[in-house]
Amino acid sequence: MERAVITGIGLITCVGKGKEIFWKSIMEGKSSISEVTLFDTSKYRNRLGGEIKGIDPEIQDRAWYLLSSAAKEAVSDAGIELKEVKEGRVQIIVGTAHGELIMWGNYYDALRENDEVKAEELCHYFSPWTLSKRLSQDFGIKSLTITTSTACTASTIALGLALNKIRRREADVVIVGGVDVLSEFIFAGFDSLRALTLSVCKPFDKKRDGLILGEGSGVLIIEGISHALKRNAKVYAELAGFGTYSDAVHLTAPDRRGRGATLSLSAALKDAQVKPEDISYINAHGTGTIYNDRMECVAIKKIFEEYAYKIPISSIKPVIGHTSGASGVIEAALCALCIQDNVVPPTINFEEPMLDFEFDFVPGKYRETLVTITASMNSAFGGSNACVVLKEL
Amino acid sequence: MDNGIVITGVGAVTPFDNFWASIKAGNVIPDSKINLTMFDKESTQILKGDLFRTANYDSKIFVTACGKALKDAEIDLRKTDRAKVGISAGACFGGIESYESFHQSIRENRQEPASFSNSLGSVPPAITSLLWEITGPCIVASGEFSVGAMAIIHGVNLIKEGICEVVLAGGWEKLSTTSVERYRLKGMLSKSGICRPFDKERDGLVLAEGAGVLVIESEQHALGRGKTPYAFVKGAGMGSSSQQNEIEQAMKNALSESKMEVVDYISASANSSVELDREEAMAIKNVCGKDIPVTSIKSMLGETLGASGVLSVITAVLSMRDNIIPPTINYSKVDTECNIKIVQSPIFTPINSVLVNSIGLDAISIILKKHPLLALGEK
Repeated sequence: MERAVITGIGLITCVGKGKEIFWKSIMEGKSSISEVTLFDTSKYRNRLGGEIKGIDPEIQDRAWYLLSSAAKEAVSDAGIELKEVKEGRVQIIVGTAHGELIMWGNYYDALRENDEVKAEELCHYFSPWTLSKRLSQDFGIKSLTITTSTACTASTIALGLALNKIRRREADVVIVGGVDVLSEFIFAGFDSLRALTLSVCKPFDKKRDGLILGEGSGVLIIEGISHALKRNAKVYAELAGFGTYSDAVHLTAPDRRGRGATLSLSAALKDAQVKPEDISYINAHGTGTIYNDRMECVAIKKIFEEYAYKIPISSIKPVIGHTSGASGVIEAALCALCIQDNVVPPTINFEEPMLDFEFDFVPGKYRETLVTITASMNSAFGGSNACVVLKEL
Repeated sequence: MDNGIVITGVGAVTPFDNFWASIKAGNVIPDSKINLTMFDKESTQILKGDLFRTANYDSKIFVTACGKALKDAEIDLRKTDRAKVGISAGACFGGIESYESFHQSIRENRQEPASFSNSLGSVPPAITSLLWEITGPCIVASGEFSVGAMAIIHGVNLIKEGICEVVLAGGWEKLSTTSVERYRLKGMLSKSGICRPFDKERDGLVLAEGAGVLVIESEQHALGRGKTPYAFVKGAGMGSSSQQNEIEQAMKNALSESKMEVVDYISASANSSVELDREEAMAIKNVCGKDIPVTSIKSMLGETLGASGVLSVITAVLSMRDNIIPPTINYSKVDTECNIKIVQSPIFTPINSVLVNSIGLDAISIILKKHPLLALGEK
């Protein structure tokens, strides 16, 4: 069975474009959450979000703009010439909750206003699955493409599919992307479900009251280890294990017993052939909602038992916001960087732990510590849960 | 040696009141939309209380197809470790009608939380997991005409990897303003309104709604619970576009994975599109020769987008059970560029293997082979 490694990283979030600014901001705990300007927020309970500023508002295909930016960086970071890889050996998997949602909204408005010209112009690229195909055309390669659409676990599951493609030797290189844009649609949706915080996002804090939405894209180059070594590629980490399971309890609320998250975590550890006490860092989904954070703690406690109190756990969502379907790849990229630099990021805005779960949430400031194996967890609407384990090579 | 992945149950929900009888008879769909009242009894039995009230149409048709497939497979999930049961699904514009209504509700300043929760394409499979308490993996893909076939491949892999023993694999499509207008604006819809795959006068797609679900299991699991499987999923192949050479690649890879050189007939993806049908016909001729029987159920059913790959597999499975090749209707003028043997009226003959093509953004071929115990039952 071929092993899979991460050889390239590309990122764009509200802290800026590129993995350097991402890494610096996350470690400094410097949040770029700001007043949202993309649409009128006056009718909602919260006006803040992780909006990426400075993008031409006339750009209709914002998701493509973000995804292609991250993909170009990842490919260049990996130092790989995609056209030199044997034809048919590169595949592309993109995970997204909503795809080109802003463009779709404009298309639908044009239809309702009988504006045929505008609707015709917008009809080509709003479907989520056009993103991965555009990427393959943009790179000028013949590539199988898959789009996963399991909401906030979409790109985590994309990583799982990529891992199995490498293991089965169906591909030498899999470009895995996650992308979602901040739109009024999602903002209004989370507001109507009363899931947005009325103050700041403070994961795992006793007084947490909701999430902050963000937007962005992350892209990872996943390669078969022999392919990577043959071309002397720099390797960040091994993509070593994956697990995904469902709660089967409620459509929008997480399972209080954390059943799906527990199963996913334990399956990912087993798949990576590591024991709970081998894990040096957990990147939690940590949205800052009352139920998600507690559910994750329940799952972590079930798997790690007493060791749960000794392991650093953090969430970067107060810094960049919840990037929906993109969060799986963005957070896996973060874990790869933690392994490279032996440092773990802080959970900012954390002040007081909730009852029963006084874990080490790395409050306020980053920490230098040996990081060899990480677990990154994500959960979604519909009771979907997924976890990826990375290992130092 | 067989890889040991079998299909034990099928469920189809389409505009036909009886899918298989209509396909065999060569009937045309009465309407592009599914008449849900036809399935209401079934779906209300499955979807209970609050879930039924708030579920959107996407969920209702997908869940009804799941219910039919489970019933057909005679499987009692309560007797199975439900962490070992998975769901793999796909749609082209999943949940889009809820997107439309939530978008409209924002415009009118009356946000409807239920439309937002239903707008995600992952909701129908998620509701499936709730109803049958399925805690195994739930993989949902979004894609064009071939996404249902892709979902079957993901489902097969879950069993091959040993993660699942049973998988509900399927696809669905609810037609919406968004999807119908998209294909109209792209000039892909038939002006005549008649779907005539491979015919010289074919002029584009006829869209229709549908949902199709398969129960797939390891052969061992099926036999262990005393169920005679319909067929093996022998092999699959993929190509990266709808061009002839990529379709050939998909077909060749599927044949080579199946360790088979020929099949009894080909269930084509042909949906009456001028280019796609030609590319597929040339690929079929190059890989399997011009004398192999070819049929396209889309001549009766139309293009059901996310459901089409699965509905074709369901047809192939039933055609092996009943030993009949369903016809391609509306075929009258030969197109010399589609120089293959089109089945114009039902052929009654022993069917042991079928190659199903499903072509959209990618080309996917799946090969099915009748299970020997099913063949034995015929004698």
